Amino acid sequence: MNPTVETVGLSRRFGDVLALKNLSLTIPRGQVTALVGPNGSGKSTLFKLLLGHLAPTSGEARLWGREAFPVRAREPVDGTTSGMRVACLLDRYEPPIGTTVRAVLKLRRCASVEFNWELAEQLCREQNIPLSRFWHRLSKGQRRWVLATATLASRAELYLLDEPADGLDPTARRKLYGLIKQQALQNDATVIVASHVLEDLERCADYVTMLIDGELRMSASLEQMRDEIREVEFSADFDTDLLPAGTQILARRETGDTAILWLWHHEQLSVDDCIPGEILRRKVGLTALYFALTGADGALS
Amino acid sequence: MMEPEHEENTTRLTRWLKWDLLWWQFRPLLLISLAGCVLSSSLVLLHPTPLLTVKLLWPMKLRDASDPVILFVALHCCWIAIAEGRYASRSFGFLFAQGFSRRTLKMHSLLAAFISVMVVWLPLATGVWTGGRSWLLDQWRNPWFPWAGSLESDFPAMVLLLYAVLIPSLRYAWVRAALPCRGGISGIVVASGILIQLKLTLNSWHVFSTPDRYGVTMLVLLCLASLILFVAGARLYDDIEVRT
Repeated sequence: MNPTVETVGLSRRFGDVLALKNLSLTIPRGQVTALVGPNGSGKSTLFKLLLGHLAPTSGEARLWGREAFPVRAREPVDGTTSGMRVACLLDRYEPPIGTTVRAVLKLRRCASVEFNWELAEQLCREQNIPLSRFWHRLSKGQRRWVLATATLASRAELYLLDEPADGLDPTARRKLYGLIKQQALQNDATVIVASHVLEDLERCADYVTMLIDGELRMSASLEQMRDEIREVEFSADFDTDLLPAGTQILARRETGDTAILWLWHHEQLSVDDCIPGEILRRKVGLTALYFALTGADGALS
Repeated sequence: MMEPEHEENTTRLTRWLKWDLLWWQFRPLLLISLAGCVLSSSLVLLHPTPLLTVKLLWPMKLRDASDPVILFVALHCCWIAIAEGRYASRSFGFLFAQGFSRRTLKMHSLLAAFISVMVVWLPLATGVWTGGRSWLLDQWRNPWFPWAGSLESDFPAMVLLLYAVLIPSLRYAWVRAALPCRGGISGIVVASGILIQLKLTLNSWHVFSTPDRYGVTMLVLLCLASLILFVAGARLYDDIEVRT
């Protein structure tokens, strides 16, 4: 069976900037995958390439084994159905001023055969958003909520969500991530969520894929990450050749006479058991790992 | 009771035609369509002299009755092209991210443009071709009518020709600009070539005599070139990028 999402050597250039560099990854089916990375790391570009909104400079992006660009390659032949297999919420995509909330939901319903109008209506009501309200009269959070609602009420096989909770209050944020998780579980849908709020992602995601400077730095399940990746403190003169085979150094930072290494041992053998001479070892969460891989100062605190 | 075949066709049409999408794509054209409808209706009902020529597309003297119409047609076509072709705008990205197939989007945008053109053109064509304008002005004791009525019969066809040439040309230009291979300039060059041909064709058109072979040849070539641009624009539409 073809994976839902697969990229092979995918690159995209914008003028002088190479936004994605030779990206090869597979996103597991029926899971929530967190796509993380600093600003400008290529997350939104990856989404647009998967949607077929941008053409790759080189390589391929595939959905269900078919090339994402040009879009017609994966559209129904008769053209009569909308082919709502992908539902997306992208950061800069917004309806024009003068549109009402109802018009936004109706447009989405028009594209999706199995749109859950009751759910969309109910979710808007919960946030006190009347369907007759004009788009420009909504707050940033309300706009986001309406778009997220419209996306999640569409029954799709793949959801691409770029900062879905941007501008939402904590309650709405929690509710939204609950819905995302529920959607993936109930419909066996594949969900890819990009966000900078790592705590949210850690609660709802099963997998994590990290992009830095357009390159894939890490892709693993959260469970794997917790079990197999360790932050280990050595003396600065420690010879890394002594590390057991199969150990990958994800990041390294030196502070005076000590060195901190983030190590990933892929095999069943636990890192805790196989590294000699270390001073301290810690399990890492998504946030700590993010700081380590991006080289941010926060990793040291 | 509906026959099965009819029922199937109806279902297919209902599945294909998406009213909310059509309204979404027509809405940016609503104001200009209504303005054009008022303009063409007023022209038909009120303009006292015959609508004779469209060959003064450029240089335009704004002296003949037809000149404002032509100016409006050009503006209308630009409006349609801009409303549809802002491929780097947020709303363009939004529409393309709703889950419609490219084919559905394309057909509905063409349908929206067609409706907009018809809203402007139909009052004009109906008034002139049914003889309603001629009769009305005759009732108002206009000295030109009804005898000048037959001289106007080419005018609605010429206006439609302008639409038929300008819309595919402008559409082709923006579609080329939105392609990954960045063919923006070449699209403009091709569209400009068609517009020059349009000018030459109109120049060869004579109101008071049957067109000569040169005029007819130019007209046929122009229609052919527009058709090719229309088909090419429609084909390339499937490959455009959304650069929001």
